[in-house]
Amino acid sequence: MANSQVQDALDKVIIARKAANGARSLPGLTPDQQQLLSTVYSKLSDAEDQLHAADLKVSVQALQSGAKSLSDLCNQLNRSIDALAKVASVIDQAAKAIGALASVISTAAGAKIV
Amino acid sequence: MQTKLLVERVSTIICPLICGSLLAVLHSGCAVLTKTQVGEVATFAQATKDYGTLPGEPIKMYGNVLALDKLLQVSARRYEVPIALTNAWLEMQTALKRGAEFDAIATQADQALAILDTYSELLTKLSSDDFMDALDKSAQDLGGALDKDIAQYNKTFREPRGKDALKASGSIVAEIVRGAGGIFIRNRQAVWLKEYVIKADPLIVALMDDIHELLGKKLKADFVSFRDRLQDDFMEEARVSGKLPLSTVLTVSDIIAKTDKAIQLCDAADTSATQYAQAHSELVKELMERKKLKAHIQEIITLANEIKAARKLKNISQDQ
Repeated sequence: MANSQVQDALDKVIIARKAANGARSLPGLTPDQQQLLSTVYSKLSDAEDQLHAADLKVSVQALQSGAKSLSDLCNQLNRSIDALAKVASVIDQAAKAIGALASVISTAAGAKIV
Repeated sequence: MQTKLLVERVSTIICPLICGSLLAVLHSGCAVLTKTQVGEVATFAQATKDYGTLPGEPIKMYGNVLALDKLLQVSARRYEVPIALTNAWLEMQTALKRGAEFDAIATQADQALAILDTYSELLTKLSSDDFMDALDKSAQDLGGALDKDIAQYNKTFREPRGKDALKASGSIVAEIVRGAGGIFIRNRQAVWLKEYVIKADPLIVALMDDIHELLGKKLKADFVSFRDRLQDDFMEEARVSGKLPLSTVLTVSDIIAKTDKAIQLCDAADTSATQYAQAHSELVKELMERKKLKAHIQEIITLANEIKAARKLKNISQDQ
């Protein structure tokens, strides 16, 4: 349900739109009058649609705000995932450093440094 | 000298890891992530996959039926007076504009709710075995690198001096690293998973309430109100014209069908929102519940599996 201000406006627009629609079938209208009533009717139904759109936008803004809070939490979650991935990566770095040591020993021995 | 350096480098990396693992595990009451908990997260992620795209669809459909209705109004105009042509042209443009406006609102809703899929994916990632697989490989590489160093040390220093070769101990180090790292990772997964789902729960509940407000109340009421308007218009037009062309009847019938389908979709997405929030709360309960014997046994099995994985790694390293 729309908020009360929008709902009040909607109620009034709907009453006016229905009146304009009913008036279109009144007998003895000239083509100009028919045209005017059609235009009024069209404008009123579009005003109704715009009010619905404005109301939905308010709800979507609430969704966006809620989603933002969850998004912030997801960023923290991502950092935790990175921290877990780092465990293997630290050991990997150690393995690489230690792996390089064998060739250092070999080279140093070859050059008679050690 | 090199051996000393090697030992120092290894101990600076491995010792904090082992101590950290033990401290973390002791601090959190030895909790590790059990298979059931991982399964619950996976089930939740699978069940909620693509939910974020549900709410946008009925909003798009609303814009679509409104635009069609406006075009219907243009087709029902009388064109005896010149101003009617200009008005009709403007109304067609309004129809397109309004349709696009609701499309944009739908896209905003979809974009906002895409975070739900991201959240599910991250939970799955956090509870996945990928970290363990990476740890397996790194520990194995570390063991292999140590053995290579020892072999080189034996060849360079011990063999020329006629001393006995040092025994390759890379597999033992790999086992310790895999064991400690494995328990540390499983423990962190359990602790963080609980922490995040607990923090997310009120946010999810609020988000689902917003979806209920948007689809279950507002948009559904908008569709119902629109259907009434369509009916009024149709009857009025039939009364004024005396008869209606088949194209008008077909278009109206198409709009009614779309409206009914959209109302069903609103209901479905609204119900799903309630179920989403319930499923998430169940997930929180599953991760928080005081452990029953079965869960304790599972935890012990998980720990045993970690140790087994470490042993397996030792055997692989020894075979190489």
